[in-house]
Amino acid sequence: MGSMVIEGASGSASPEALACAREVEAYFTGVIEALDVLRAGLDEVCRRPVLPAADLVAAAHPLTRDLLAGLPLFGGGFVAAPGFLADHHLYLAWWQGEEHQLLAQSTVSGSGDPVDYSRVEWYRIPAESGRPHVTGPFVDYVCSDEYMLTTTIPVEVDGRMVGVVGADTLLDTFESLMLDAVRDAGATVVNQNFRVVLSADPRVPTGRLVSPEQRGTSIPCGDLPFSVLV
Amino acid sequence: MSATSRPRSSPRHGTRTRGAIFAPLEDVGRAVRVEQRLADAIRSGVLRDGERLPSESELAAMLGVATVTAREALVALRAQGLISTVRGRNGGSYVTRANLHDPDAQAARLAAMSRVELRDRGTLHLVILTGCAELAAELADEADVDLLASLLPAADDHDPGHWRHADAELHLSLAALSQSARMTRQVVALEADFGALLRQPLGDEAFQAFTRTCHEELLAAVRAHDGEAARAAVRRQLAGALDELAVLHASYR
Repeated sequence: MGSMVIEGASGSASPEALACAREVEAYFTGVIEALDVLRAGLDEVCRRPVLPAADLVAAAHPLTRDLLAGLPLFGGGFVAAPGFLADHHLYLAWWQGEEHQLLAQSTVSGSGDPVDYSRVEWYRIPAESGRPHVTGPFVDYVCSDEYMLTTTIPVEVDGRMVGVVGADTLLDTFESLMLDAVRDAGATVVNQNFRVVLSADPRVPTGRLVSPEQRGTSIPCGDLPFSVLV
Repeated sequence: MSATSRPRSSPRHGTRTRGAIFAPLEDVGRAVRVEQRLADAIRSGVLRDGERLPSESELAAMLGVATVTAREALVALRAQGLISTVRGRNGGSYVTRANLHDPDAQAARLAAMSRVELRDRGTLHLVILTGCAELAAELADEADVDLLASLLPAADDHDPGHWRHADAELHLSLAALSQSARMTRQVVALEADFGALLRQPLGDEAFQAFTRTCHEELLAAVRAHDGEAARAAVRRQLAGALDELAVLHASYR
């Protein structure tokens, strides 16, 4: 890797670049805090010895409505660990879009079979690390068919992983929230794979990979899998 | 998939028969009645293949039922394979008369097509997916390629259902790696329309082996960021599938 990491406020990064990193961190910290409220609210229902999807939906719906009302999110909810629910092997108590549609089960077009989401990054990483994660930019063909940044945190009951709660931020939304800060800094926000999230340079599209020789100085956005390149 | 790329008439501007389908239900709305009414309309052909249904809330208002009831009916229609849902901001539910899980329905649908139509659909599929492969090779990182690789069935797995599912998910993943939501929705719509037919040849073990070889070439090409090789691998597999499908088609006519 050809990048130099600047920790905190030290080093040669401009105040604008540091402010940009803080702004990205603050947005996702807000999402993670709101997801913590959802997680805490679901604790009781997740402890029931037998949990059918209908009971999960009844408990998660009002909590998710509050989550979606409070932040500029496209969707959110609870995704059950495979086999956790009594009546569905795979299930997403997930609401999205303007009408807050319930997703329930996701299938692959052309085969009609359910998508096993346990392999995908937004499920797998928080499940394995036990920590919050933000996935993206990626086109989410399991839930929304939109270009997304998906924040997920694991839900555990007595040390057993029972699912994740998550929230989707459209890249469109992220762009409108962060473009001023990114421009002021003349920076490029990238994820852990150096995939562009948003760049001040209009010729650098979201989704492109930044090659090692073009990475320059990197400022971490707190503990998030994002950094600001200047 | 935007509404503008499906130039079909809205069910709201239809004939009297069509008006009756969306007339308010007198009794307290029940999802089963909504489902039966729409299912009958689809089976009888009043609602045409590919036609976009009103949204949940529009349906609910037209039929005089709660939104949750309309939603429940749509879920049931989807489970029967009578509609498919394209998500996203401009998404919606579309009539798909060919039941995805019914081989007789697939055979009948194939038999009803001309050779020209089959090639026409195949060409659209081929051009879009080879383009996705080229972009995916440019834009995929290591983790993306690992996820693609994990989709391939195990070496001793010859189950046609597993192969069809894996192949469909591989195509969707390739589309998603283009980093374009519109491209992905376009492929979702293509798959809903033609995917089940395109994967008929995957019932054959020799064709599964051929497909594995092509997909392994594709994975190696994407890992190497070689767009030309990725495009060629997808083209080889799809051209093979279309040839097999053309032979199957000829046997029906």
